[in-house]
This record gives sequence, C-alpha cells and structure tokens, in this order.
Amino acid sequence: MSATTATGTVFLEVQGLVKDYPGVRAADHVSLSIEPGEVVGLVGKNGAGKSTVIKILAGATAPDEGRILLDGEEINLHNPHDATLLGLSFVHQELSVVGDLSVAENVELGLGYPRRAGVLVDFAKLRRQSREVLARLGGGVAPDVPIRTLPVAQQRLVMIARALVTQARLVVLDEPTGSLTDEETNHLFAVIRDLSAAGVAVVYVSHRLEEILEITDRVVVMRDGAVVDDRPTEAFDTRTLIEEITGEDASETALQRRRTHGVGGPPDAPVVLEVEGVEVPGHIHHASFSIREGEILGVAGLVGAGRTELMRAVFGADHRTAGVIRLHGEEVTIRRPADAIAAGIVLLPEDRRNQGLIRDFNVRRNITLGTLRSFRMARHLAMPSGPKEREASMAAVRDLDIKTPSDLTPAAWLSGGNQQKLVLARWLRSGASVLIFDEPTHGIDVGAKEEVYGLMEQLAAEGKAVMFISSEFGELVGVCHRVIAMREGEIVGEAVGDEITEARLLEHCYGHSPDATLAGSDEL
Amino acid sequence: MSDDTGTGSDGAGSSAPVSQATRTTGSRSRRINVRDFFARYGLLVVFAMVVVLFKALDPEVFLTQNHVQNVLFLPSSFVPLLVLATALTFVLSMGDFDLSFGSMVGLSGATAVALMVNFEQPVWIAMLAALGVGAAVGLFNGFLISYVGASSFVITLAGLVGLKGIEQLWTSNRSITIPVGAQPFYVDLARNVEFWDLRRPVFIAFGIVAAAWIIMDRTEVGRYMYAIGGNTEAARLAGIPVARIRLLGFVIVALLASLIGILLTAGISGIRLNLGDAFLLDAYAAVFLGAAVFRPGQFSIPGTIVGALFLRVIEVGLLSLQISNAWINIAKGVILIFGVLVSQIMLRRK
Repeated sequence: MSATTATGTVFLEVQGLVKDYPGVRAADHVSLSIEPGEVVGLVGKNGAGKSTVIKILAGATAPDEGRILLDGEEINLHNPHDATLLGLSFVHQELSVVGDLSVAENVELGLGYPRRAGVLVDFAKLRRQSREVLARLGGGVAPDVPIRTLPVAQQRLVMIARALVTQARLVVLDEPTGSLTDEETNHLFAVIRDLSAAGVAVVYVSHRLEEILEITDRVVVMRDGAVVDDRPTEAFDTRTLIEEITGEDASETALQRRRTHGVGGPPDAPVVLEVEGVEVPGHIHHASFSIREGEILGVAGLVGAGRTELMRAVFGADHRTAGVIRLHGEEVTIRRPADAIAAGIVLLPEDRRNQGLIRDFNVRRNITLGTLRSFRMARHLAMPSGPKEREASMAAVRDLDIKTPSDLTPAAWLSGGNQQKLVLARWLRSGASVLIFDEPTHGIDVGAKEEVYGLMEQLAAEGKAVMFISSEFGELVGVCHRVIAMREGEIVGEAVGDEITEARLLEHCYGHSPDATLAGSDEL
Repeated sequence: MSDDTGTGSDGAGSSAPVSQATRTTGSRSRRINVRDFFARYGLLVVFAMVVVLFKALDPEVFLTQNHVQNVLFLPSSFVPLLVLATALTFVLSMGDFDLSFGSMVGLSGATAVALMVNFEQPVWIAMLAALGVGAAVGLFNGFLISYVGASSFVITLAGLVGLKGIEQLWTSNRSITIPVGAQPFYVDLARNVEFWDLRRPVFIAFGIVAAAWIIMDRTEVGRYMYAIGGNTEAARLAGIPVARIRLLGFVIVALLASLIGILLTAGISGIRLNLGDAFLLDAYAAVFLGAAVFRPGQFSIPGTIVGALFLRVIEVGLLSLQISNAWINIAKGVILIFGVLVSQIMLRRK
C-alpha cells in the first residue's frame, strides 16, 4: 500500500524495519521515505508502533531487521548521539530540559558548548548563538532565564532551537501541542512552515487529526506495527483518517468476542460508586461518572487524556481539589489510598512493577500485604500468622492460576500477567466492591490478556463493579457493558451496549463525535 | 488483531523486555547454589575464619569467658554499638537515614546528669526527661521528613550539629561528674548483676535486640517497614500508612539513643563531651555489613547482630594483639568494603 510522493529527492529512507518485543511485533516491516522540506504526519492508535519507529530513528532502540538510508547510504544508529550527529533531531512529548539551567545552556546542552582557552565555557558566545536561533523561531524567548520559569510552549521552542543548532535535516515532533493554547499552536505551525521552507523535513506525530490535516503534506498511518496507508494529506479527511487508524479487522475481532461472550449493556442493578465533579488542577476537569453492581465500565482515552489521573484521584492516591465520592449512596471521605481500600475501592495500578508490587517480597507477602491485619495470630496481637498467610496465598495461586514455582518465589521473577494476578489476588481478599483495573493487559501476552478479561467478567458476575482503563479500544469493545471516553481531562462521551464500537470510541477520543451534544469544544 | 497491539510500543517497549530479563535471571540463580550460599553466608565464613585466626594468634586470652565478659561485651562500647545499629536498621530498612543519633546520645546523657547534679532533681525525673527529649527529637525529625517531605539526610544532619549545640548549652560545655555515692540507682544501671557475671546493660541490649527482631520479622509494622523500603509508592497504594511508620522509625532511633545516653553516663558516673560520636559511623558499618548476610541486599536485625559482633571481634582481636588504633580503623574499613562488595557481586551474577 505504501506509496511515496513522486517528486523531489528522498534524503531519508527506512526499509523493512522489524522490531519484536515479547509477545508482540511492535514494528512490522515498516518502510518510509522522507524528502527535504516535507512535513509528514504520523498517526495511529496507542501501541500502533509510532513510538517504536521514532525510537529506532533516534537510535534509542535497535531494530531486529531492516535498514535506514541517509542520502542513499546505510547508517547505523547505536545511540541518540549518533542520530544527532547525522542531523536527526527529536522533540519528545515529555520535554527533556534541565530546569535550573538557562535557556541558552539548554539549547546547546550536550552539543559541546563554545569554549574559551579550551576549558572555560564561552558564555557570551553561547548566549549569542542561542539568541540567533531563538530569533529565527520567534516567540521572544530570552536566552538567560532558567528554562523552568518558561511556559511549556516556550520550552518546546527551546528544544526545537536545539535542532536548529545541530543543523538538523529532520525534526521529529512527538505530540508537540499537548499542552499548548491555540495561539501557541499557531505559532508552532508557523515555525514548522519556516523549517520546511528552509529544507528541513518535519515528522509530526499527533493524535489531533485536525492539526495533522492542517500542517502536513503527507500522512503515514500505522496500525498493529505496520504502515497501512501513506498518501498526500489532501487524500484524507477526518473520517477517512479515523477509519484507517481503526482498521476493519481489529473492530471485527473485538465485536466477535463481544458477541460470542454475550456482552450486553449494563445490568439493571443498584449503583455502587458515584463520582461527582472531580477536579485535579492541570489534569482533571469536572469529571463525574457512576457504576453499577456487576457492571464492567470501560474508560477510553488517548495517552494523556487523564484516565489514570482520574482513577488515582478517586482512589486517594493523588490530591483532588473538588469532587464527591458516594459508595452505595453514602458519601465517603477518601484522602489516601487506605481510606479507599477501607471503603471497598481498590486500584490495580498501570505501572504494576513500580506501583503494584514489592518486587523483593515473595508471592505470599505480596498477596497478603493489603489485608495483613486479617492474618493475625490472635485478634489483638499484631503479628501475622505464617500458616494463615500460607493458606490464603496458596488458595489465591490456585484460584487465579498464578504461574509460580512456589508462593515463596520473589514477585520480580514472575511474568507480567502473573504479576498482575498477584496484585489482583491481594485485592480480591479485601472484599472490595469496586475494582479499578488500569491498563491491566499492558505488556502481557495474548493468552494472559484473555485470562484477565475472563477474571474481570467473573468479578462482574459476582456483583463487583469493575472499571477497565485501556488504550486498546478493541478490548474495551470486547469486554465492557458501557464505556466512557476521556479527552484532555474531561469525560467527553459515553457508549452503551451495542453502541460500543472502536470507531465510535475513537471519534470520542479524537474529538469528532457524530453525536453533536457530546462533541464538546475542542482545544482548551 | 487489536489484542496483539499495545505491548512493546508507545511506552510499553521498555518494560516488557526487562521483565523478561528478570525471569531468566531468576531461573539461573536456582541452578547455581554455591554462589547463592556465598552471597548469603560468605560473610559468616569470613567471620569464622577471622575468629579462628585470632584464637590461633592469641589462644590464652581471645574468647575466654573472662575476655567475652569484660572485653568483647564491654558495656561502654559493644552495648551502644549493638543497640544503635539495631535502631538504625529500622530507618535504613525504610530507605531513610539518621545521622543525629550520635548527638542524641550525648544530649540525653547530658540532660539526665545535668538535671540530677546541677538542678538536684530526683533520678526518675532526670531519666524521664532524657527519654522525653529523645521522643521529642524523634517526632521532630520524623514529622519533617515523612509528613513535610524533607530529606532525611539533611534534617538529621542538622540534628547532628544542632543537638550537640543544645548539649553544650545544657552543660556549659564542661564535663559533669556524679559525686561518688550520689544517685546510686542511676549508677547501678550499668553495674554487674550476678547472672553469668555480665553487666546489666548487656542484658538490656540483648532484650532490645530480641524485641527489634520480633518487631521487624514477625509483626505487621515490621512487614510494612520492609514493604516501604522495597517500594514506597506501591506500599502507599496498598493502603499502608507510610508516613506514620516512617515517623515511628525516627522515634525508635531517638528513643534508643536516649537510652544509650543514660546507660553510658551511668557507666562513667557523669557526662563527657562527644559521648556518642564514636558510635555513629560504627553503627552504620554494622548495619551495612549486616546487609551482606542472610538476605543479601536487605537490612535485617540478624544481619545487624552479625555485623556488630564482627566489627567488635575485629576491634578486640587486634587490640589484644597490641595493634594500634589506626590499623583497627583501617581493618574495619576494609572489612566493610569487602563484605558489601562480595555480597553485591554475588547478587549481581545471580
């Protein structure tokens, strides 16, 4: 399917890149070519392989197969520094600035400051150089102030200035407008047009399809690690882009699972959890939702939409400035995770390695950690009884089919899916009525994923309320009774029962809902 | 297949291969048991060899009953080392530091002695005041560190300096001696009792260590402490009252330091300047050495006991061979580096 624009000379060519991670092919024979001055949009769902391709180009990851040609010659990128030397420059979503250093120092950080007498930094020259490149970008950034005092938009300009200093021939912008105002975005676009006019190619990665359609010359669509479309931007509109991003096959598989498992709408049961008007400054704006007994409620959204932040705020892990939480109709005070757990709300964190498990603890101790008080030798003796702990952990290992040599094996030795089950086992014992799964299938293989879905369905069948956050909309389609969609910190839409399709969820998340009432205003 | 996406890219890429690596690491270690044995017990083997060596060099004295009673378990050096190292194990196991307990020893002793001698207060008020000051310092440190979020290194470094200043104010920067015959109860705290001819402070130390062992390894609080040390954020998300337990750690250290201040000043019938300073670094050495045995990489009370004993054996062994203090210090440093390194290397190979 891939087609190159016919005119001009290609200066960067990527041929047949393959990158495998355990259980998944993150890049599947990706081929791309880029001409000088071209602005290329790169789009795809979370996990479609965009980041993998960018990491390979940046020299941060080595491909398993394939090659990269620069001006027709094959290049080998061993580390990010190689890429910089060859004129490939990257502005990542998370800005890598050193906050306390000045703008000028950040512009040339790691590029070799101008020297005086061989050892001393020539600050006058450094300032002059960065003032020149910053002037090219406009925006009135002063070279002397510490970079942390600048708004994010200007910090991003400073990172682009780095690209100019290195005489970059290609600048990759990964989600550059994430926290920018309309005005700042327009300014960024002007900068991109200038770069393009000067012959610098730009790869623009974004979930914001209007921006892609506005600024790029050509759009490359990725899905499941492969490039599925590569055409001039004029050939697309928002709807066709969403169709390409979703892909028919994926929706079909998800829908099939939904049908074969007989997933319907939410059960007609009492509401368990009611959340109203949660505010987390900078992350969540006025989020309200509720969930019923036995319901699996999906939370869809693109990376950075605020799903994790909302759940952490409900769980008391992060501070919220407003918001009422009611459980079985009664308001509960949740200030810290312990409060939520006591009330019967538990969270299986997204980053289970760093937030879920105590990696040095064995399986048994990880399972009993959340409910340790229930294992006392005697009621008023705060000492856990070994046999009681053993019995419970053996039962959990058996019931959840946790693959481990013994329940005394360190948690760190288990595979991702089994680690996930450990955290789940911890909470199943607590008798929680609401279980929040944050990206529970992230990084685990297909078989283990199906097991996780099965567990969620089983919990729901037992009358628990299950919340399921996922970036893979297909699995939300396959499992959930209802899905709420988040975008930029707000809940922007909902799909119930058979309305849940991948295309519909994507439309909500990309801000192009067919339902006018849900389509909310776009950028803040 | 949407089921296959989502791993490996857009951020997941870094985590998946690592967990794979961890798994293979695990299975390999079970094959190589010799290495595992040395990671766990290597230091004990070295310890045993050192004991045998000293005994061979000095068979008449080393580790005879008299030697153990009066030299090895000397209340004025072994007891503070063991108790302070035990206390330190609590905070270190949670990933915190405490540098202030050496000064706390001096401040507590000075408080008790100054109240009795200069202000003619009864002994129970003096002792309660000393322990009270300890509790207050522990709460102060713990509050600033675990509730306000200050760095434990900086706060307790401030304590190291500041508490010494308070002690100097209290004592006008002079030694104070309890007159002979005065305060018999206080002075008797450090005297011999009849059982196996060991002095009372040694029994107190053993009691404290046993209690600490039970707390760390058998109670909920101890489990929570290890969980906090293993992964503070995961512990908090598991509902553990992290701040409260970290605070408790600082209170334990300051209280035990106060107790040591009382016992030391009872033993020498007065307060000397810089009474507790010498124990600060030795206590750290003992705890870190202890982290190289039994459960390598993890602080533990049994490990700390071994560490403290080892350091003390080196010290008295070399002393009885008439080797100068300079070399004793060098030997302690070498043992510390060696013990920790060996264990680290064994762990890494695993």
